[in-house]
Amino acid sequence: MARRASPFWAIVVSILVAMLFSVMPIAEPLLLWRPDWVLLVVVFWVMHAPSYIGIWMALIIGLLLDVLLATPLALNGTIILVAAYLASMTKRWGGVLSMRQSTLLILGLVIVARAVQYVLHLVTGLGGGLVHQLPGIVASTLIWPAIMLMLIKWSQRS
Amino acid sequence: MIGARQGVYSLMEPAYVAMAVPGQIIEQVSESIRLGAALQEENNQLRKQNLLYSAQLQRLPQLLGENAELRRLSEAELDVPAAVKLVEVIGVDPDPSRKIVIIRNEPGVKLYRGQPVLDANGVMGRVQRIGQQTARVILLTDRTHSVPVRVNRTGIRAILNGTGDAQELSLQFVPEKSDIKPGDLLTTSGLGNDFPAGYPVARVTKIRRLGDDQFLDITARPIANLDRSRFLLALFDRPANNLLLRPEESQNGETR
Repeated sequence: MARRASPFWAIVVSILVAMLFSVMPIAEPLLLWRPDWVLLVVVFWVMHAPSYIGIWMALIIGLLLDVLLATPLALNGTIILVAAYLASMTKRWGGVLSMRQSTLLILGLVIVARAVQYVLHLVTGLGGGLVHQLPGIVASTLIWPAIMLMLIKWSQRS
Repeated sequence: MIGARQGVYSLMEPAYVAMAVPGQIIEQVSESIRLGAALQEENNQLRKQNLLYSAQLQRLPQLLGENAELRRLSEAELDVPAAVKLVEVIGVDPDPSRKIVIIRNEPGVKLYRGQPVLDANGVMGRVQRIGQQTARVILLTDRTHSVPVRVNRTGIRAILNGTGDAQELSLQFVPEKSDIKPGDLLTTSGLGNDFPAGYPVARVTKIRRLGDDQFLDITARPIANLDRSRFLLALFDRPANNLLLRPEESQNGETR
């Protein structure tokens, strides 16, 4: 099988765009529906280009996101680290997951990530209630197939 | 640690500047279609001027209220109008549970942490973090924000806290028998380190007596247009008592 194109620039650009999307101003009622853009993109790369984005890289990206959002340092770092670690465990299943399977997987991952976020919010005394997490979980899961279709071209998995 | 974070923040903040560009282009185009260049220029200038005047006018109710008192004091100090700088809002914090706006930090303007920020009507909040090109302003309504205020009519002092709700503030520690009613204007009291006295903050909307609590449960509505104002004023004026807090300066004061 022919060598696939290097995903380096796709990774850089996709993560930058995800960061822009996560600070994009949107209408007040839609705020809770903002998907976890950076988390989704990082999870995609952890699953599809593990030699480029491992869990340490995921941690660094999470810390950068913390600085961008001015959240307590390591809040997003921890969340993305946990999600990336769980995503990296899918390696042992070999082969590519179907769209439906991976969407289910993402649903689980986002729920775990939001749960971690909720606990960390409780500890730091910030953030909203448990119900406020729901729209974000739904939106993140629904946007996943689009992200996957856009980036699958650079997947390193055969 | 804080310095390092500041440095990395300066690296990341172009994201906010970049996201503000499309909105600005749309606005510029629509304004130039509507008005034509000359009128637009004039309009901008008038708008800025108007904002500056309204800021100076803000202290009027309080000054009127104090007038009688001041007349009794023969050696009242001359009231020097405070210096203000116009700043532009370019974004809001994406987290809905926080009430923070991002403003453009221009090179010539020396913003500082804790600096009061106003709009044309009243107090907006204060500067929380400063980067190279942007600064974050925490609004009155943020849950972690408090302002020392007084009721303009009666002079009762209290603390005004944000609740996280865009239209609701909560006035804390007002004793049960206090003279306060809906519609009362709350102005900054000048206590604390950041806000100078006399700027309008909020109007009391609701007062509830809780059964066995010794304090009233009071909600107030901010006077400033927290979610609509595009140009804000950064105030370069520290409260008078700030000087008294520094020991070396009160040493050679007139108390001796």
